[in-house]
Amino acid sequence: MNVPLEWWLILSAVLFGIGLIGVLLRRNAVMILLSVELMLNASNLNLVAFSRYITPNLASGQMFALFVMAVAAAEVAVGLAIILSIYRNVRSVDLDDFNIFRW
Amino acid sequence: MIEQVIFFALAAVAIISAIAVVLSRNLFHAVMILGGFLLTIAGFYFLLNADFVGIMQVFVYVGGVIVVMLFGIMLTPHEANITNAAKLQQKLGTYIAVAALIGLLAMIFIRTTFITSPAEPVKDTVSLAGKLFMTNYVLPFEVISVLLLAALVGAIIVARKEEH
Repeated sequence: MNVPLEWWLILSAVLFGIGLIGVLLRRNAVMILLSVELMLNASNLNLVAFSRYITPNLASGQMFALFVMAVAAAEVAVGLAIILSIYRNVRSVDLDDFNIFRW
Repeated sequence: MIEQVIFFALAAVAIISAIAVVLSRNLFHAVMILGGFLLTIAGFYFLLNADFVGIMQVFVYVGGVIVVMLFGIMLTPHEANITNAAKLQQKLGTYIAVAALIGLLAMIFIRTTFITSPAEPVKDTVSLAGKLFMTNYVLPFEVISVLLLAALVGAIIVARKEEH
């Protein structure tokens, strides 16, 4: 374990932050989905790093990472389906055009 | 020593590709770079002795999610690539907030003393994962299979063209 745990945590915090910038600044719905995937991967990295350094012989963090992966795959499928469906109605994938529910 | 070199090389690739994904003007390029990013994350998993998670990362993300994303791009218009840029105020605020968040997290991580275990990591993660899926985590495992089925059917129904 030449790499201290803190480095892993800081790396995943940086990747999470980059994903967060994408979610907050981009207006394209597919782009936001990509950025959310980035954030999910950053948090997964965190889980696996904790599992390796704190409970190396239990692998519970690895199981959590696998569950997160399954949920992320489902999220991408449903998210893209919703984007396609909205595109058919609004003819745009720009989030600023999705303000039909505005009050 | 060699671990640190691999860590820094992978970290550099991961951070640069993540920035490229977020700032890319072309959706197709962004998805391709995201594929590279996901592969570097798989490399991190191998470095952390989590080989099963790494293999699953390559299968599920690079093999599945990227392909679905490509379909999503092909079915949405190309003019969607040109996104109207956010306002300068908005950009500045976001960058400052995210930098503050990363700084705060880094400070917390450095100041906290984690109780790390010196034990050797498990060698055979595949059989351990199989055992855990069928014992400790059997309920979440079953729930996730129902969730995947529901997501599959739901995605088909939502994306299907309505017949009039």
